[in-house]
This record gives sequence, structure tokens and C-alpha cells, in this order.
Amino acid sequence: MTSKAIVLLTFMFGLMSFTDIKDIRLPYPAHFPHPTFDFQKTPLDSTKILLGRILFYDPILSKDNSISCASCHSPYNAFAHTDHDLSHGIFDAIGTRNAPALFNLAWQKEFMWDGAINHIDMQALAPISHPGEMGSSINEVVSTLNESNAYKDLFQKAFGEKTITGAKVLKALTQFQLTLVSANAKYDKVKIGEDSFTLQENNGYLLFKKNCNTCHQEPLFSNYQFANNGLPVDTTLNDFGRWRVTGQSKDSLHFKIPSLRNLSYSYPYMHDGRFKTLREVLNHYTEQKIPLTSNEKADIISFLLTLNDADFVFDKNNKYYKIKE
Amino acid sequence: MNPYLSAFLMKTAIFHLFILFTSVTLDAQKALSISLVPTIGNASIVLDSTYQSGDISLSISNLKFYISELALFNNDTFVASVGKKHHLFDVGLPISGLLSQEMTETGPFNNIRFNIGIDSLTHSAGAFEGDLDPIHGMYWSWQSGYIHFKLEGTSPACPTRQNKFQIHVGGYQAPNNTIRTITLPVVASSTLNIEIVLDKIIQRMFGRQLFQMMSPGPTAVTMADLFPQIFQIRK
Repeated sequence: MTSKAIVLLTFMFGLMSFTDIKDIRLPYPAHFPHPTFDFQKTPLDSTKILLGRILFYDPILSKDNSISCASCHSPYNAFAHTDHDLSHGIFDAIGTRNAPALFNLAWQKEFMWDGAINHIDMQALAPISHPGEMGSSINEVVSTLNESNAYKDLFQKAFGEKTITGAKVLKALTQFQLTLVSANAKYDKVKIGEDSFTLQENNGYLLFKKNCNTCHQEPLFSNYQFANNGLPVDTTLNDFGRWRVTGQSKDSLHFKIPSLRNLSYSYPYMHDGRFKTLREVLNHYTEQKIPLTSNEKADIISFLLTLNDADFVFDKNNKYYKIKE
Repeated sequence: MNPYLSAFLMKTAIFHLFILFTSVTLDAQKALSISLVPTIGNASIVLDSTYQSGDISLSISNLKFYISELALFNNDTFVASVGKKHHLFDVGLPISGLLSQEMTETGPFNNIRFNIGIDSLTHSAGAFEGDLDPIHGMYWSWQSGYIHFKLEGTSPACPTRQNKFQIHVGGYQAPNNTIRTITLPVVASSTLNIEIVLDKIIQRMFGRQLFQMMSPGPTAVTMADLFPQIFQIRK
């Protein structure tokens, strides 16, 4: 082989490894279904993921620079807002719904408790513009970011253009959020043969499959449909869920079925955070004619705790990252 | 020759001659420019001036709409697309009222077609740059969807706060889809002026006392049903 050819080959391998670093494949285990997000059309890109992560933790998205996405979606709470029944916003505003945990978003088609948002790109517009959340607008966000040289550099690296647009802000946030994959709980380890359930967990698993799996379908623990689970309307909120979106009364009190992963990190439960404990949740379902004895409830809870994914919650790749000015 | 057949052939020939003469042929100039001219009471609109529509006096502070998939047709045969797929018209941005297209080897055409609004596929495909970027105030944040048509202003006859009216027409899912296709017959010219006669919208607004429309639904659908009636080719 001539030295020229060696130089050329080294150069080509150099190019290839560079591409490898930028393009990332979403990691998920074999027992997971294929994601619904179209990665062929919009591949993951490490520079966009990093930019999205920085934006996610930056209160610059809110009107008074006080609230970031992470204010209500904290990594240590599986990106939910533990111990708060309703979401918070600027000027100590209180919202009308519980901030949902964020993970496995690449398998979801509709967003928010009522499915009002049809694509993950467009989701961030809602909290950014809501007067009781960030109280800003995508226009304000874009013009503030365009004043920051540090952000301009990050957008240049991620998108090859210094000019920041609404679409780029949204797409960067999407990229980071798509990487929030929770797939390493004890349950997952059992599935791939690296661990085994205790007797009680296994009994809980059998009871779960019999009573809960239709809506909270494994391995994502939701079919991501909408349902009325029998909760009476909270008359201080009068939130009828999906009815407002479809305008059809059959959707009254229908809310998105949440995943049951990471429950220990993401209490309280339900769209309005009305239940603080899993015992209260199971008591609600026995009132809804799902027959479970007290021991069976304990077994189900012990199974549900195998869905806690500490690796995800404490993943250093997901935590706070600040822009370097 | 069979007299019926010859009469038929004659009719066909006359029909084809008719089509030939009424079709615009662009082979010579190879460029088409289209201007969009919104009017009230026959007067072109400038922001924040006062206009008279019948006995209603009003001023316009905002008029934007999406015009998409604009194309030339010869009868029902597609001839050529004009401009980009989705175009945002903004009365405050005069350049957005001009569309031009270089034409190569374009055959004759006798009608122009376009949509007011954004198709449902684009609606559910995430964020886009340019005219579809949500920074233009043409995207609902609380529930996904482009606003297809936006008209805002004031009128002393409006019984609302600060006499304001805000008409945002959107909705892309059945039965509340508000995208509408417009077909306009075209006479020979390389410049087309499309007039948007807003009087019908204004009469409807005051007739039904609809001064605030900001979500998809049956009322938005009835407003969108007016779209095909408000566009016309200006002679």
C-alpha cells in the first residue's frame, strides 16, 4: 500500500469517527417496541442534544428569567415535580394540572394530559406561552437568545447557522427530551435475564397483568391512550380533560394514561396530583370494581416498585448543564 | 359525413378554440407574477387606517393568512406550481403580497388554484422554518394547529373591550377542518392580481356578533366556508 493511500484511509476513518460522534442512535433494549418518533427523518445529533439540554435548564425561556423547564420537570423526580399537586409558574402562579414525568417520549404521539399537542416539537410552545407557567412567547425567547453570543455559537454548532429561529429552539428541546429513555429498572433487568423477581414481586406482576396491563401496557407501562378512570371532577378546577380538545362529550374526563415507571420519584399521582400514595391509587381502583384484597394490593405495589429506574433518574447525561458565557 | 358527427366535431373545434384563446400562454414571457390585494369597500388595505364596509366603519391592525400549494391548471390538468408550498401573507409586510415564478416550457392554463390554510400532514409533522415557524403568531400554543387566517382590528360598532375584534380561523381535523381550496378562472395576462374582498367576512362578523374567534370548532368552519367567496381576480 502506498503512503498516499494510507493518508487517504486515515483521513476517511477520521471523517467516519467524526460522524459517529455527532449522530447518536437512541438506546433502548430489545424488549421495547420500535419508537413512534421518526428518527429516519430527524436523526439524533449530539450537538443538538446538548443545546436542548442547556435550554431545558435555562430560565431564559420564562418572562422574568425565573422558571426553566426543569423547575417543574426535575431530573431527580424522573422529570416530574414531586410533592406538588399542581404545576408552578412565574410570580408564584399555580396551574391546573400535575406536571407529568418526562421519559420515553419517543414512543408517544400526543402530548399533555389531554393530548392537545400533536408533535413533541410543538409541546414547548404551551408552557413557554402559558401566563401561569413561563408567561413568555416563542418570539420573545428567539429575540432574547439572538442577543447571546454564547447561544449563537451553540446554534451555529448544532444547526450550521448562527441565526436562531423558533423552529430551531423547538427542535433542540425535542432532541434532548427524546434522549430521556427509562429502560433500566429492575423489571427491565428481569426481562433481559440479569435479575429475578422476588416471590411477592412476581405475584404482583401476575396480578398486574390480569388487572392493569390493558391500559398500562408493558414494557412502557402505558398504551398512551386516553381514559376516564372514574375520578370525580375536582370542582375547584372543573377540568374535563380531552373533551376540550375534541369537542366531543364522550371524551369528558378522559386523560392520558400515564406510564407507571418511576412512581417512587414522581408522586403525587393523577392529572391533578390528588393522590399522594400508591395505596390511595389502588384504593381508588378497588372502588372502581377492580377486586383486590389488601395483600394483593401490597403485592402489586411491590411489583410497581421494580419499575423505578435509578439509573435513569441519576443519569449524569441528563442533569443540569449551564451555558458557558 | 354524418350531420350529427360533423356538428359534434364543429362543437369540439369551437370549444378547443375557445380554450386556446382564453388560456394564458406563458411560453413567451416565461415569468408570472401574482399580487395579493386585500380590500374593504373597494379600497386596498393599509394597517391602522379607517375603512368603510357598508355602514360599518373599522380599522385593521393585523391581517395574515396562509396561501398554500398555489398552482396553475388548464381545466383540470395540472400545469405548474407557483412559489413555495406554504406562503404567509402579512398585510404589514408588503413584499409578502407578491409571488413570482419563473416558468419554463409552461403550457396554457385557464385557472389558478390554491388553499387557504395548511394541510393536515404538515400540521402534524413538527416544527418548520420560514413561513411556518411558530414565531409568526400563526400557531396556537395551547392546542396544536396553525391559524389559517387571522383578521384583527377595531370598530366603534364592536361591543368588546377597547372595541377590538380578533378573528383567528384554524382547525385541521374533521369535522372542524378549515382549510379551503380556492379556484379562480384566469384571463390572459402574465400578471395576476388576486383581490381579497374582506367585506363578506366583516358583514358576517357583525351580522352574527362574532368578534372573538380563537379556537377550532363549528363557528370557525362557517367562517372558513366564506373563503372561496372572498377571492377574485381583479380586472
